[in-house]
Amino acid sequence: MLSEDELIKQCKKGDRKAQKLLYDKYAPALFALCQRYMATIEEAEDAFITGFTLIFSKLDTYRNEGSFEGWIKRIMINNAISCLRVNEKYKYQEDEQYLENVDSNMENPQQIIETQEIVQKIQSLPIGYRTVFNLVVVEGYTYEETAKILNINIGTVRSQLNRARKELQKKLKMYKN
Amino acid sequence: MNINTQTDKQFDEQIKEQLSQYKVVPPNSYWEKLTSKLDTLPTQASAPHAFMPTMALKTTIAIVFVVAVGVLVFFLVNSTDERDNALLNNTMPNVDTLSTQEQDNILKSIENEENTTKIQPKPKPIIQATSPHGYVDISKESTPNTLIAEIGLNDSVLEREDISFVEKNNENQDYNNNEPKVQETPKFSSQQVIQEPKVEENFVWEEDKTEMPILPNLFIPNIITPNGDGYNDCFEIQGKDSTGLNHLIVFNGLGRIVFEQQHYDNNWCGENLPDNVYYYYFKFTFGGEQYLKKGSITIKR
Repeated sequence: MLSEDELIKQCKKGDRKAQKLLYDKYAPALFALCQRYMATIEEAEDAFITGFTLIFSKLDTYRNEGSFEGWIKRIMINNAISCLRVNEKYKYQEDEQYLENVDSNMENPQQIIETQEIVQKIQSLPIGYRTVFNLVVVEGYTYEETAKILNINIGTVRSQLNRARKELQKKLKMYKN
Repeated sequence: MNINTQTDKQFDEQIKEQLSQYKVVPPNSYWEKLTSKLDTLPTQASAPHAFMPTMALKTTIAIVFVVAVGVLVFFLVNSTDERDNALLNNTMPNVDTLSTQEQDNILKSIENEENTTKIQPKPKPIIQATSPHGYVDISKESTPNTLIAEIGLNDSVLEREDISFVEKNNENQDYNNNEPKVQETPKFSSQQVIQEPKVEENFVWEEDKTEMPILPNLFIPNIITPNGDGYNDCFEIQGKDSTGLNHLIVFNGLGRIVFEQQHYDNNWCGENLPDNVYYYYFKFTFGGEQYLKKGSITIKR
């Protein structure tokens, strides 16, 4: 069984079998990631395939330092955001006042929610909410990092995140009506 | 903690935890599509040790290139009229013989040109408020030694009052036979002034750098690849207000207009134009205001 480093080396040489092994290893997580970022399955497919193409074409710039998974994930995320830029109108509701981070009162705090449903609800969020939520909550970027990636103000990140959260909670019926 | 309340933090953590486990095996067709894309990629070097000299070589070439560019730019900026004349005449013949860098340099030298002549009652040169470059176009009155800067769209001229240009002494004009031909631009002749374009404070005019920056409302590519593969075949400006007026002008490094359209509909694909770097002015209305965006667009098949 090849180690991952060996696998990567083979992939750099264009070994199709090695590429397939690498693809099989990471595709499920990365495709799931694309679904989270994009609004439709077609866009997710497009982002996924172009993202993987980028990953393979940039393999020689990977220096075997740090996490390979983190490296490919970053490429996939950046590519997804690029695709969003092209396909959807990017709008941040900057005119509204930004909300303080208020704890929300929710029913059923330990409610079991299907992961699939979470993804669907995230997909149905407006693009600004969705992207910020994905980057901050799921990926774990800081407000500063997210602001830098998206080229927006930190205040915008915060307000988009708060609204995204409220919206998502509403959609997941976690609120008492 | 009250058992009936859940903080946002817990919500976030729950979501994060569930989603980090989320995996979806893609259909087989995705791999097929991916492999066909991979087949079109340039082949990688086959031996590991070949990487080292390649990287070092690339770095060296990059450094030499940057130094050469620096020298060239310095040379152009400090050039006399004679040099300008020679440079323009020597590199003029046609677009194909101009390298990308030479075109950039010519455009840069034109923009930095301080010796433009004001001819009564021609319009004054224009500077757009937020662009790092000046807005300069070559009018039909231009000759190799006297570059007359003007810009206008729709028979109007955008003007800025506090810019003045030194009048140039036209004694030693020497018009060679092969002076640059510039496009007739009849639209650019009036002196009527309209409001200076305003740009919102939060408006970011970042040109696409392939990965990172994002325009909140407008996305203009800086390269098109009209090779029929369905990706970036045409110059698509995303996010422009479809009800508003807009006006797109594309021209080559010598100032000749190669495409122009009002109410541009994302349908220019660089037909009959060689691979090269071109420049565009895109004037549009957005939210009731008029904006003027300048940039470069590379055609590469």
